[in-house]
Amino acid sequence: MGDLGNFCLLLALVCAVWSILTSWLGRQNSLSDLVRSGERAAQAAGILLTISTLALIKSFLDDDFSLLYVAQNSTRSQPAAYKVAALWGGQAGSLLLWAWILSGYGFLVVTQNRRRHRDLMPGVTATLMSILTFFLVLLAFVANPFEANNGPVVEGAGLNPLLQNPLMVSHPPTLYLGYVGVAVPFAFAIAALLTGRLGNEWIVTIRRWSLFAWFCLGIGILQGGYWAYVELGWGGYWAWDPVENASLMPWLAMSAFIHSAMIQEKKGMLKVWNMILVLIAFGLSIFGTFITRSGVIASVHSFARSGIGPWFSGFLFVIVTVALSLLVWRLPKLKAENRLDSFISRESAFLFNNVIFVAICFTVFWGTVYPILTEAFSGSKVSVGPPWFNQWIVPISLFLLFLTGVGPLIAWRRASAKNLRVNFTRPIIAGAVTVVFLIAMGMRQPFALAAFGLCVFVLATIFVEFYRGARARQAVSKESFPVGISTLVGRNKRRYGGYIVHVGMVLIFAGVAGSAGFQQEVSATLKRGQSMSIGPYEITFTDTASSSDAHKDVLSAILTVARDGKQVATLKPEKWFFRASQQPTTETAIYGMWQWPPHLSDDVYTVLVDQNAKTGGYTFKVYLNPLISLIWIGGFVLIIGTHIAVLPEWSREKVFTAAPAREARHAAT
Amino acid sequence: MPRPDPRPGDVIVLLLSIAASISLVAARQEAPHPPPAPGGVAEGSEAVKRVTTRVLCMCGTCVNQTLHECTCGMAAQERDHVAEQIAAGKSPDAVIEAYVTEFGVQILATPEKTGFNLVGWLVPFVVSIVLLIVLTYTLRGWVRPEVPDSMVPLSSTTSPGDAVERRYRERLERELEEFKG
Repeated sequence: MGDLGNFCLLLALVCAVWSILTSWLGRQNSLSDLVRSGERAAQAAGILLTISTLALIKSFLDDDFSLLYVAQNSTRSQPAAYKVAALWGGQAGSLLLWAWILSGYGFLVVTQNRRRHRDLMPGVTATLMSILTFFLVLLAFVANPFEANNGPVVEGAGLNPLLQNPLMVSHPPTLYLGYVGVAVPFAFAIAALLTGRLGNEWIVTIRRWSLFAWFCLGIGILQGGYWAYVELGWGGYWAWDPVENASLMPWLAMSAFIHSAMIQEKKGMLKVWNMILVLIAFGLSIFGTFITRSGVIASVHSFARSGIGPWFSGFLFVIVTVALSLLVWRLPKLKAENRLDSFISRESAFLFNNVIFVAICFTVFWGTVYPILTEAFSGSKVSVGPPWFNQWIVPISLFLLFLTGVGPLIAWRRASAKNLRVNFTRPIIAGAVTVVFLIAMGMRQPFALAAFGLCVFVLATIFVEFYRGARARQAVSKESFPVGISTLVGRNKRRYGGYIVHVGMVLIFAGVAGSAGFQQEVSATLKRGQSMSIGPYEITFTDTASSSDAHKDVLSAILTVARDGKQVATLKPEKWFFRASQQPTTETAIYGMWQWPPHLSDDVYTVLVDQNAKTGGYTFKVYLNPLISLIWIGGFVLIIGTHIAVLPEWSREKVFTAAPAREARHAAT
Repeated sequence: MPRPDPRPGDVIVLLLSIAASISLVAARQEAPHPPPAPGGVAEGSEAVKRVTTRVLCMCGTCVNQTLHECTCGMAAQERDHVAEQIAAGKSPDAVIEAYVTEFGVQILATPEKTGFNLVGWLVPFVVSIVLLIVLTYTLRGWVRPEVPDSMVPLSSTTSPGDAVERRYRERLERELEEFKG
């Protein structure tokens, strides 16, 4: 299997190089056959890398320790799902996953556009295959997952215990789908710059690709947050770790792009800005892979490190230089076709929203690279931890939340004072009433008050949009209110899908505000029968249990959770000791939204820290995380909203023009 | 009589005011004080937390996690060590200082607000403000000059449609010129 995988890998490299050359020569000499040949080579690379990846997965499932990578990341006793997940558990496999996904995207893009965008496609194919070539060179000559293991090996080292979590089966591929997905908009942007076709064509074509990449990054980030929450045992989900930041930055750049692309579509403006955002997003996705893989910045998530940092920094340099040179070359053709009608308009609100996204992105970038800069300039190493990020990101994010409410209700082109008054009076009152109510209930934290007030303000603006639209439909079509809402969403999926995404983001904000602002924690060493209290809950340590399986020993503590004297849950926080790696992990136990019936107001989060040798008791940490379930619910809403937004629009015109055509076909048959 | 539209200057002042208010509000946030555990043996106090939330775990695997958050064995030992130091009468600042002497400033969760590190603290703020100001002035340049209604005579033969048509004609000519060039 290893030989087959390696052979396909090398053949894919040949195909990718062939694809670049033929796409380029075909385009320069207007030889469509050469262009087609390049596209077929790109598709072949996709098929070959699929075989290569499946060969490595098969080697994992067969415990083929003759391959060094398999021996380093798997054991015989590892469950099958984790044997598959071990594919991305180390350096070389992660790079193979990157390349495989990219080749898959290349296959889809070429197939999707075999009759469309013929001017752009050679540039798109050549760009995608150039990126693929970089990864394939790394895979073939620097970090080859099919490298033979010298010497007999009867057992592998096993997957990093922290990665042996069900979420690790889905989190890295989802995140990679996003990271790599940004390559498609980037390829179209480069093709547009190369060909000079800088109108709306490329922007319209990549809309769904951009949304897909953005969505995968977002869901991948949320999955990563949930993994950290349940696996790392510190009661939180986001630590501003460099690798977490690396996934957030392209997401922020893509968020800005998704908004500003609408301005280019509607007004023919922001062409340069949109180009820059796509280039930044792709640059950051490579930068993210560089951070994760190079070890240049220490991170709790750097599960795979090696000396490939210089390769990535060189590649990043080439990308930035080529992209900026093309951009400067085409600047005269990127002039705006229109001007703004008014400073007070939705266009302006979108631009402010863009600047805020970029400001947050820059702040995250600055905090991530600052330790390297200080070491380079002052010679002393510093750490940039969560307090630094929170100080800057929290206020800027609140401002972004405010603009999320303003954007949908302010008029396109020009908003009059009346428009502002009519649209914003009720949402502002709703937000203000919320703040007053919370103060009356005893809340005194200014940050939380601002966050919750703004959350209600934004939800009110979205509600007003839905309400007005549904009422308008009721007036015109005499539909009931619920039918009016569904017709409204069905008729303008992009717009209302976007609003639903905003609802998801508001829920995530509220969850963050509640859990970060009002988290309580108690740490105590208990003996059997002793209790500890947190908020309204009493937690009693009743017993311990031990067990073993093929590759780990498990120590469980049994805790009962009671509220108002009534037992509501039994929790089993655990310590796992992996024998192969001699590494312990913390397995949390949570009373929260996954119970039946779901418990949404707060999570009781329990951790078994260790056995206290001095007292003979067991040390527990218990966190009470209010509203944290809103973060995960917000994630689900975000999924629903994005799916609605990417569904095709069935316009009235399409229906009317399609009907006669259908009738004609029926008549002919 | 219709009210005039707000001016760009007013809007930027409003936006900056909102941004500044939110910043002030957020900067003043304080973490709530958790109630003490009535049962068992309490491990931490506020003084201990002042140290453990500022000092990172240096075990080598728990990167970017403070002693307070980290669940590894070394962090648990260090928390006990901090508690002992505080119980022995040391101030939180003195305990932190001892850690810095032993491990260097990289043990602190955030850079100190002195010397070169001020650059690290201030750059995001300065960049955000500069971005907002640049955007405001750019937008002012992009906004089409408004022609007051009173300037257009009622008997004028030029309708708004003509103006649009004139713009398109100018654009067509400009693009044809570019195409020829």
